[in-house]
Amino acid sequence: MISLFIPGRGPLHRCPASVKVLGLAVLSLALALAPVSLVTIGAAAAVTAIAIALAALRPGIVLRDLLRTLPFVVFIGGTLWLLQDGLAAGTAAARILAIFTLASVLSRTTRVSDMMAAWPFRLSERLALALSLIMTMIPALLTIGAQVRDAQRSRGLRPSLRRWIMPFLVLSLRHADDVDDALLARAPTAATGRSRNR
Amino acid sequence: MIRFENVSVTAQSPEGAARLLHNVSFELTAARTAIIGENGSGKTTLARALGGLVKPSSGRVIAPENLGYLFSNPGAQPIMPTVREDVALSLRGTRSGGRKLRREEIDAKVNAALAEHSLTEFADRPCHSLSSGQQQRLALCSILVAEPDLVIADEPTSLLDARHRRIVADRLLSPAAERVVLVTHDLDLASRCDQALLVQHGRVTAQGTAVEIIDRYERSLV
Repeated sequence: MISLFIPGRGPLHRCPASVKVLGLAVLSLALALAPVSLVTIGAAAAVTAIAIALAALRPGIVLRDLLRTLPFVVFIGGTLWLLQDGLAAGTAAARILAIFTLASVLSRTTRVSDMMAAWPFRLSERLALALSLIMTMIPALLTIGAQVRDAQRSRGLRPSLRRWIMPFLVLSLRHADDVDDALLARAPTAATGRSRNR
Repeated sequence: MIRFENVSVTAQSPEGAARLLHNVSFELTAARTAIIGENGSGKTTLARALGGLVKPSSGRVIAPENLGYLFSNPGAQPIMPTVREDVALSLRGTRSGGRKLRREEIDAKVNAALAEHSLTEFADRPCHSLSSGQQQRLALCSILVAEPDLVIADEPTSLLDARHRRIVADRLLSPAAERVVLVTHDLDLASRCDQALLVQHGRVTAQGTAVEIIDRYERSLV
């Protein structure tokens, strides 16, 4: 559920990152601790709707982000329905949807650097860099996956997970080496914290 | 000072250890140096050893610590999710006048650098969504914004259109610019340097003025 910042002028874009991070933490905790009930389902739905409205993003972006959470929601909700009852399943699904939406809205309306400068991340520059690298790695891995598929298609091979996984892993590991080199390639600063091979 | 003293670089391959550089020694005194040679001759390995990206198996490399290295594959250069953040990363932790740069100072420097490299309109775009040429400009921008003492650029103009090729070459090779070592197949670009090294089969076989070395290289191709 890690998304990328989209520029905008909505209320959440103007809100300080520290307030948004704190808001996400408090609301997530409150939703997680709330009892199984129709009131919790209603509150979670309200939180989801308000977060989407305040983000003021294009509906397509919000819909795409919500659809990504659907497999988790269906899996958790379905399992609880089978093991417990409909109310427990509905409450869990609503909680997950609301928390995912809050996280998505936060990352869509806040630059990673602003988020990392906000309390409590400000404590560690290295932690900030590590989290930023994770954010960058996800689209990079998706691109590598697509490149492997395209390379196979260009040779007339049919898509196959077995044929795809090995080159994907090799290229992903090579990408990790590239990232290490990219840190070394910058002039040395406290942010990259890497020393050269001399 | 930039100096190689009997530097060898060895890499492990399935066939065993392969020596990529053989006892290379030279000293660079000029502000702008080109490294030329055929594919697989060891140019990039030499540049990577100079940049501290690869550890020599023997010998010693002396080079400024405050350097920036520009990859031939610009897609491998971005570290942060968006263009603005990637350029700003180079300035995080940078000191000026004995203190760390403030957030507003970093923002101002980043905005100026983005404008200089025609990247302002892409400032909030994810780095991976840029075209290869735009990524090459971003890589250059991210390196130069930190004002390194030495820039090592591996094929810095290979993916650029004619206009941006000229702009990037003028920027890298301007007399006021930082010290530059270029790895390039573009002999026009190499001819604008003061000095050149010819690399063949993992050895530096000639060093001299760019014009002399390019002439020698071209004659060796006939």
